[in-house]
Amino acid sequence: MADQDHIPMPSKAERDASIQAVLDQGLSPTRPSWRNIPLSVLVFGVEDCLFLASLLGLLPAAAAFIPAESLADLLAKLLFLSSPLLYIAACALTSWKESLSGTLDWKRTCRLPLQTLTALRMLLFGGASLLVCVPVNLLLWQASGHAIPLSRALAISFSSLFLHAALSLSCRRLRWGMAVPAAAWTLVGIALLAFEPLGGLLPEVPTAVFCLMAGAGLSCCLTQERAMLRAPHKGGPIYAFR
Amino acid sequence: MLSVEHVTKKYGGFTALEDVSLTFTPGVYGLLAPNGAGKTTLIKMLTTLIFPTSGQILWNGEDIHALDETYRGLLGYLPQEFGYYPGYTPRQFLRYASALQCIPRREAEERIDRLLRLVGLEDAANKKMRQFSGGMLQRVGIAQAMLNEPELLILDEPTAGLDPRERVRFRNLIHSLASDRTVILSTHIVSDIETIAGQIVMFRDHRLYCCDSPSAVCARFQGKVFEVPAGTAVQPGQFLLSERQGEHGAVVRLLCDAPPEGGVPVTPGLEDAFLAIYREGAE
Repeated sequence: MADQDHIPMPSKAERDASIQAVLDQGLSPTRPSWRNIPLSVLVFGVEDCLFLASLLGLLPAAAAFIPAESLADLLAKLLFLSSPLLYIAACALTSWKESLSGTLDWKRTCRLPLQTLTALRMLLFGGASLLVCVPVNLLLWQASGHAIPLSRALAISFSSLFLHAALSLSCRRLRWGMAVPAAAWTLVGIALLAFEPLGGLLPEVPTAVFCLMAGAGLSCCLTQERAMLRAPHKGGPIYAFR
Repeated sequence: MLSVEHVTKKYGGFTALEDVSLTFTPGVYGLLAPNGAGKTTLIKMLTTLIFPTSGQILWNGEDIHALDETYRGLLGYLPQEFGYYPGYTPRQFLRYASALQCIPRREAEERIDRLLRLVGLEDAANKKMRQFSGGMLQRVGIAQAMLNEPELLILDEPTAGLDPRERVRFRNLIHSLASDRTVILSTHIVSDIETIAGQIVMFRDHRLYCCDSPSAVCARFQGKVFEVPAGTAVQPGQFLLSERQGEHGAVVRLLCDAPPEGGVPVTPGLEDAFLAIYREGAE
């Protein structure tokens, strides 16, 4: 008991120095920051994929040549189905090219986690999709003779795009594979186009619901992106497999 | 120092490596084993591409997966099939790789210039890689692996598909890089590592067979390798290693405990040792 009372304790200066050393270690910015990654790195080697995806994203603009009356009937379905085209194509083509190029193995051993690169790329694809979507939507809306209010056209388009992006990011983190979102969208497309009762429902959905869906999709996207960037080794095709 | 401690890797019911323990210190280590023996599995575990099923891999006493990007920051890796972008020049490609290694731009430029000189590609630095030979591409791969000035350089079958001249050049390059770092070189081509590896790591039956100097590996078969004229019948207890052209015609090399009739004892080389260790039915 007496020995326990005489345990040599560190002085205040020693204690403060130790705490500072621990804090310095803990707070040192050892993790590479995604903020320093230039745009050129995100598109390196996949510029052709982005170009092709952009062409696909612009493809729905060809519908502007359809007579206004016919386009007016189709507009809601067209916007809903075509808005994520660029995103789907960009994700699929870049994944395909990366797996073919055989660069994934050495990229997984680099300091910058592959998941971070993927997350930033998907953010870029989302931004590019928005940039393409808006003018295409405006063109189609104009060509349809303002068949529906512009706000509704944009809400339909964005809800579709953000929901698809959220699904893609979730699938990536849950390791369900990149084919799942594209397959899901194909099924939705077939259902809307082939089954008239279902397709006929789309114009009945209030604009507020599309706005809500767009908001929920966007919020889910941002949450997933944040998670992928903050914890790049949790979930997703991480750098090491068990 | 890199330590592999009782590492086992299983893929479902298949055991690729079982209870492997090794220590790597600065120098060149050659992983020498036939295809399918577990070399690439070990390399993928050392490079954090796959987790061990059991056991652990430590860098200076800390688990490599816990060290995360700190470990990857000191690791250089050239995979068996080095992926590259044919439409780019080596300089552009190395700039990209240095961004992925989080090397500041200015520092990266200096390193790229130095590495391109080191691997003898300064004249081809601005040519598209689709025009490159296999050897030139492997040299780009080496430069990529050396970008972060790694303390641990891991090369998986780096000379596969190279012509003899390129292989010699590659071996010289590895030798020059190995002075102050650990280099782990995987191959099934004996001559690749016979001259440059300080230690040979061999696996048999998915377990570690030995980790020894080339001379110590060869010494295991001292007095057991003989040359006899080609056409001599192989007796029970003798194992045919190889055939070559001698001064007086073709001769075959045999592995056996007792000297065969008319046999001339020869000093076993690493190729003899390799063939002896991996002969069918070897125990």
